[in-house]
Amino acid sequence: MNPEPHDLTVLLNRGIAGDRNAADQAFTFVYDRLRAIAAGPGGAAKPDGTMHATALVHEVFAKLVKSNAATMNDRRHFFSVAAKAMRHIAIDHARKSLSKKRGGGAARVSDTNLEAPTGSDPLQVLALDEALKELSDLHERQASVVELRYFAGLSVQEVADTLGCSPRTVELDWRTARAWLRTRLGETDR
Amino acid sequence: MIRARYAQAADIFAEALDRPEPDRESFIADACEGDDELRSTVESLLRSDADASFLDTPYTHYDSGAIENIDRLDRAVAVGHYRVKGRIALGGMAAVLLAEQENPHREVALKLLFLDGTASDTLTGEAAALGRLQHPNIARVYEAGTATVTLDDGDSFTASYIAMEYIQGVTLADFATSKTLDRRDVATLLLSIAGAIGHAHQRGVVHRDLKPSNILVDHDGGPHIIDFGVGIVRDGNTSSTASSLAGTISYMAPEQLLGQLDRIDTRADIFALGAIGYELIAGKPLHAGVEHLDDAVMARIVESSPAAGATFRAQAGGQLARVLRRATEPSLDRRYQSASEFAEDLRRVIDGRPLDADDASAVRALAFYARRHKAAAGAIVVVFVTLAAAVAVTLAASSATERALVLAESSREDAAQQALHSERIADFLKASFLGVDPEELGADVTLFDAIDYASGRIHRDLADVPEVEADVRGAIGFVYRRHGRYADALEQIRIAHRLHSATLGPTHPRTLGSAEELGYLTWLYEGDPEAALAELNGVIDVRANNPDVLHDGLGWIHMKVAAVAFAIDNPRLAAEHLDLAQPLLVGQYGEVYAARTIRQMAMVHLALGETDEALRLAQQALAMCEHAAEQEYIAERARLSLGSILITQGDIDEARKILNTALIGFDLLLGKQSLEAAATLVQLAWLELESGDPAQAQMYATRAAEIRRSLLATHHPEVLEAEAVMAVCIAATSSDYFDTLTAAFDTMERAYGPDHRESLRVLRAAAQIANAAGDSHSTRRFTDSLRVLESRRIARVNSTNADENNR
Repeated sequence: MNPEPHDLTVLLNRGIAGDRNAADQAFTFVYDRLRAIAAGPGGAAKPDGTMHATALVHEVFAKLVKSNAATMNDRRHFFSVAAKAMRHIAIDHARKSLSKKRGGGAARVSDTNLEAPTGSDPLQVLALDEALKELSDLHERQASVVELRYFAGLSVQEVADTLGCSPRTVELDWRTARAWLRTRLGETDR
Repeated sequence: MIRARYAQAADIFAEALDRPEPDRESFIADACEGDDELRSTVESLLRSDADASFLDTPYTHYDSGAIENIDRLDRAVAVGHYRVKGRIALGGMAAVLLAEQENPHREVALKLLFLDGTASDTLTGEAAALGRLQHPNIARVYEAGTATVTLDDGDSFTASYIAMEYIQGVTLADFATSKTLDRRDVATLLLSIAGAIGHAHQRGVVHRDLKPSNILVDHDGGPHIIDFGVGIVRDGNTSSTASSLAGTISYMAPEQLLGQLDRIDTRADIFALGAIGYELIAGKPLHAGVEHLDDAVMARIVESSPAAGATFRAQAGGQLARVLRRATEPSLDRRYQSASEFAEDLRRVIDGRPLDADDASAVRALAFYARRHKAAAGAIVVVFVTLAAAVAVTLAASSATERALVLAESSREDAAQQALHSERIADFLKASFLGVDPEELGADVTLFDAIDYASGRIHRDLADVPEVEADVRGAIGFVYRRHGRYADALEQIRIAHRLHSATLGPTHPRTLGSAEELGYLTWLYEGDPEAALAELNGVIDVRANNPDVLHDGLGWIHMKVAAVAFAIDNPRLAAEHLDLAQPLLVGQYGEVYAARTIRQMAMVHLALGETDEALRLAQQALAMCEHAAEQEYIAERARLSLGSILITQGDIDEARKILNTALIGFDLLLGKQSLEAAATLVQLAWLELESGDPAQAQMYATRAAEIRRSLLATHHPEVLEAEAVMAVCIAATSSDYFDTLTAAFDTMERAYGPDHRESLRVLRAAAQIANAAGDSHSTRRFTDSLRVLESRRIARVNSTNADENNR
């Protein structure tokens, strides 16, 4: 049963209050909506076929959380849930597109991919996900910053609002985490 | 790597970033203290940091199946029984090919969709519905189905398709940028599209995604709607705005943006049409500039249409602006209820026929309205009187000075011309309030509806008498300002000042009047003290050099300068102007007006650290006006000042009582959303921080920030101040307090500079919070900065005084 937009706020709030079940429900709901909207007509999937995280997350937020009922807290929790959901979508998608490429029955991927624009590389997305898991053991907030900035496409200010810290902290976390991840992924390449 | 190691490396990395590149190596060597592993970790972090492109763009993905097949479409030779001739457009989930059909022989646009089975069923169903639409302004759908796509090498795959009428043309978005469209062109285009949409609506089809890129304009200038709800978007030269958030949401009705699915009906398409019309006229999307759909933006979108703005009315002309405003009404009930109703009004605009009584005889219409809307008539009269009074006040305010000038020079305006001007103003006012039709806008027409409407007509009605236009704009600007609509006020006053300056010369009293208002608004709305002081001082100088000009009104200018000076923490400059203002105000209005200068002087003493004198003056100001008639506003201001002073003196309970009284007073006098209420809330936040209730404090600060954000420019120092106070409240209960407090101070520094009294207040609170957390290291850091900045402030406050005297 899908919760109504209004219930989502309630679920989010109960989730924050420690109700795991409510948190899971909120997550599932947001996840489904993100997927549906990304794929659906007139959704955040752009004319060129890309799915832009920033537009998508904000669009879903606008649709799900009634503006007059949405407090700073609602937005904060929505964004963290949405970032997690986006990360899952990204991983699912990366896995699927890899298995499609491996499965010989499907269409060949053309070598002359002249006009097809490039999205995020599925292999890199999976590697990033692994590295992020490691990072979150080392520094949880830095990992959250990456999740919010990269997967949900939030601005520094929005990340700061979401995590309740200063934009300066976010900026610094972002730069450190990015450098660490880059180093980490560089190692795997070799 | 363990957490502690990582934290160590991250710290050194962060500090290294702050240093210039050449110094980094030696810094890292020192910081790592011979720990080579740590050193190599930090160095590799710095190397990686150089790759700025890494994760630079947020995550995006493609449907890989679609990509694979779309990519191969270049080599398609046939789709079912259609022969492929070329590619028209390529999208993420669809591609459009130009193809030829044998029987009947025709060219078609073939849309290929890459969807799974269930989606293509839906598609076929929709195509069937679309097949019933037959209108010259809708691209025909011939058939839909699933077919084999054959490639040049004989390979093939299956795809769903729709065969549609092939229209040679450009998208409306491109058409509009390549051609200059006048109002009539726009109305004509909209009329055609409205006809097509009305046709679809009658057959139960709602488009839901109407936008300039979904409309093709053929070589004869005829628009054709494509993509009825099948979710395919053409690519090609889409303008840059199309990919922005504004380009996405501008055509969505508020009920769509709010996701109120059960309320989305044919009227959503009318909204989209209105939004397209707006964009064609204004040259920018309806919600241009919106980057985030946050609460404030949504509240604005739901509140009123951008087509109601004065600038737009000037661009579109009164009639078309009204039609587009009604088409883009956020409220479903106030919007056009049908495409035919919308089309009917567009036809009136094209033919130059009146939309309604607005253009008919004013006086007869007034009586008519009054009869029809007994309840609303009262409101109309209020509106009329307010507007008339505002104009009269502006004119009267300058009339005494003007008389003096007229005596000194020779008369430029003879009596006949004066009378003519009064007549024009009266006519204009009548027409303005008659335009605010309760039948159209609902019985709850407000003062603002009338003023908004009036400001939209000014240029059309008064362009031939720029002096009159300037006076009316000045009056409307004044009314806007008094009601806290600073952005609108500034817009009107800017034009008024320009017109006054051009028609009457820069030193004419009325030009000076609008210059004064302009200077003050620059401060109020933009928060730019230099520009405001320059403008105000300019007015004072001109007046000083014209000894013939009487001095009425001069007191207010000094009050404004004092207010700005106080706000930028220049208390001595403020005191100087208060001393000048007091005798002028008292001379002109009576003793009770001294309460205003005395109250402000109390704040000056507070800023100078003389709290006992501050307290005495604030109490005196309050006593003077507390029971005086029509001085309620200044009494509340005096309470606010008194409350702030009491906080500094540590009398928390008394301060709380007085500030709460002031808050209720402001709410009653000015409505819930005033800047004065916001200022009171900020004081209450400080008070509750002091009393040890940071949660309550945060609530107050949040409300203050919300009010200020809704009224002021985003970069306004008061907006930043409220946000910084909010951060301080958050820090008081957070373990991450150091960063939060540092950020709060950074914000204050951006707002007012580091040694402004309010910045120091934040720093003082920071030291207290760190101290309460038992963090002696951070406490010392804050108190050290505080000491340095405090002495810098004392030096500045005293030296500005000296500079001022030298000037």
